[in-house]
Amino acid sequence: MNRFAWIPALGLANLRSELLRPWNAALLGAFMAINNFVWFGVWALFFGLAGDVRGWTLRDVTEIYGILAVAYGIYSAFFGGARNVALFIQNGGLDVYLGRPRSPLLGVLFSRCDPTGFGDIASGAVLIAWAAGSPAEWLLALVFATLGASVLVSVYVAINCLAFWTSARPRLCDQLFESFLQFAMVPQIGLPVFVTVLLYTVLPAAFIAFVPVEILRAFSLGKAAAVVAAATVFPAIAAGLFRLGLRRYASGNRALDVR
Amino acid sequence: MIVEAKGLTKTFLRARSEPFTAVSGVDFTIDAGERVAFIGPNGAGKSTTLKMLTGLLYPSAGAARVAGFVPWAERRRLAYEIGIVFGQRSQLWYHLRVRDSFDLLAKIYGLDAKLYRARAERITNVLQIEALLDEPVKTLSLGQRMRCEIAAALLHGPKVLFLDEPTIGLDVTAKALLREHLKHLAEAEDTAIVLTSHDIGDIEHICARVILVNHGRILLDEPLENLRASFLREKRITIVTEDERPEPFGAAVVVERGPHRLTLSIDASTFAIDEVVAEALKRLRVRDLTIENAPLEEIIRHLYRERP
Amino acid sequence: MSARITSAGAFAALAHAFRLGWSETWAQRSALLGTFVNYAVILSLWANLYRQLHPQSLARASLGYAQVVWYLALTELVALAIGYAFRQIQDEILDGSVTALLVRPVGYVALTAAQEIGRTAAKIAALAVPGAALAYWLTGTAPFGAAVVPAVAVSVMAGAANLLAMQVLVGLSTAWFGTARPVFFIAQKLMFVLGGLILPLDAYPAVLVKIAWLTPFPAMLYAPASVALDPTWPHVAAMLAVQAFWLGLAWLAVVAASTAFERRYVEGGLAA
Repeated sequence: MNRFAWIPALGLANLRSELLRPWNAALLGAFMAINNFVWFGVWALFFGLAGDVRGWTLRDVTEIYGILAVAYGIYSAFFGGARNVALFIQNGGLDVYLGRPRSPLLGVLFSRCDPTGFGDIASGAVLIAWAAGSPAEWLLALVFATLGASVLVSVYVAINCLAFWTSARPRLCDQLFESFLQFAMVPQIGLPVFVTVLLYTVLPAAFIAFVPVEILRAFSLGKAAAVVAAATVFPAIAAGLFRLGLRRYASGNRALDVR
Repeated sequence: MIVEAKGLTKTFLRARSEPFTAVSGVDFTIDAGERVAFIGPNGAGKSTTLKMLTGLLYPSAGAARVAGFVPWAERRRLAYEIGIVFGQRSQLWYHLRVRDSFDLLAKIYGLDAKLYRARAERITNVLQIEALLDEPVKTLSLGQRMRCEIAAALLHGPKVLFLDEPTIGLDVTAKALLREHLKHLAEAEDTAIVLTSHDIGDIEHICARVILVNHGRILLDEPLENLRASFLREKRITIVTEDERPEPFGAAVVVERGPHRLTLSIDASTFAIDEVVAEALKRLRVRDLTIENAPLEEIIRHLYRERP
Repeated sequence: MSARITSAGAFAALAHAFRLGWSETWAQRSALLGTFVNYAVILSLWANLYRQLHPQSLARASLGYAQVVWYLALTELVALAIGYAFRQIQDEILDGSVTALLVRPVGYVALTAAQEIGRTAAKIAALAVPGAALAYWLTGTAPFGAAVVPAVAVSVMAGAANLLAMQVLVGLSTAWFGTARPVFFIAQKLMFVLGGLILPLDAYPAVLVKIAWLTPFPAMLYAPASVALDPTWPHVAAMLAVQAFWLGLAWLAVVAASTAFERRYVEGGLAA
């Protein structure tokens, strides 16, 4: 048997779990898409008043939002279990994945599929199509969104890994991630230097949508390489943090009391 | 020897509290095909010991080998040799059919398709879950789900099956069914069983050996029959009478006294049972009379008190 | 003789539920911290955007930088204090635990709402001062004096109560749709747009303003924030009156929905 056959099998099983209720999945996807289009209305109102922000227009911000929506959709539809990491650390749910002869992190990532993700992907693609100047730009934006999803999932996993060493509850991890998404959603222009440095390093929000849109406006090989690098380096960091955290989990000594 | 533990110790460090030793210097071995029960009160160290043997927890001291592997150092390789069933956690995919969960596990364990199908058929026959294979896991009763969990844990042909409270929450019928199936399965597949439980019935019906733990130490490690024999001195005589309030007699200890019923505990090494029975027939209007060994539960409770 | 709860007893139970919600929120300090971090990030990022607008852009809507930042500080205070209150009701319906909660002498929805009001009040109390400090730090000024604070506080609580009523209705919709999330998505985003989360309604096109005032959403967000920006008594009185109107209507809807829900649950049964 193909030694990697289990990965797509696990991913597909995750998807099928949700798609067995197609009407529920369609309803959630459709309403999430509507949700995103209504939020686009907020940007339209803002730029209706503002005109532009240092040369950034409604089209640019829509493209940022579209790329972020697709990236977020990929996370929630395919790797939705990222938000379960802290929960499984705290309630011992990791035990089931540790008892298998495969990567426990992938097992956890594939433990949840949120059908709203399909709505995010579809609406994001539509928003990008409206903002993009050409089909080629649309395609490239989708590629960037896929790379952005890699960064996004990595950050969510890394935040959840706090639960290995602290008493950070799942709710706090979700809130920190929501704050991170805010950085990714809003154009990162005119920010204080230290914040900008953060967004290109420890909190790599810049690489999800903002830098890709900068590349789509004016191609830069250096920036493109940076986005690709971010999409490979941050997952490695997240996986490393998870592995380190597993040692603490298996030691049984966490800030919380014994399970 | 399929499982070997030497001086296994686990101490948990807790914030703002004294370190807590859950397991202290535990030694034992288990042979292939053996069926062993870890019993003890809550907090005795049973689950902690199990977790160390399955690689889910590092020990603070001591050594162990399971199927030739050091559990916490070679967890992934060990995973191919052991199966784990958690009473309170499922490893099946909730929304999918049981069959789909099995197929997925076959891929996760990299099982050869032909061998997997043959093995799955055998296990599902023994556990009588053929009719459940096409049902979504979420629609199964707890007893049905546990049988499927056990099947799932055995698909890859593990040498040892670890079960943590497998009958918890099951009704009497479901428990009886599960125990019967588990015992047959272990014999058919020659799989060693290590189970933790509060339920004496699990021990009596599944296991041949008992390891009693309390406060992290092994208090007793004996074949089940030895345990019974050590306590065979105590006999329980239950007498159902025409008399509404039967009066106790002689030096027998009264265990229970109720309307038309009297249960006495006799030390068979001190008193002749036939004399006690004759005395009962003489003094009471006996409708029915039963002589039994002391229940295992009482034996265990006695051991807890004797060896704190 | 069987016991029956009196009005005083029911009120005492609701007050207790309020206190429970209040104290459990203060006990969950990490969640409060997370909410404030979220709040601070949103406010700071948008303030940064506003700072970079051409001054004429905001002036067209008779707004200044400090005003929009303080406006956003107040709308976000209300929005984040309520959070995802609908989830408790949704989860209790979906996992069936609502069954046990329906057989109490005090209504399930009333108790849940009282507890949520306690939680909301605690979050507002926790966020208000640091939020005001952040807004002051970002703008260097405060657009209203201390005399207006009580009116702002009342209006903020009224806005939160309106928003909470909406969330209760969203949560109860689980009984009919099997999940509350789709309804929540739409309701929340409509609130953001028609309630003026990011921009005051004064900056909206006229037709959208008319549409917005036909909905309860301005009573949730725009009203309390605008009271701080325009603390003249005619405006304050108008906003409080609008909020009171929608509050009455919203909680009547909650009573109706609660009765319909209990009837559907008890008589119709709901699939697990």
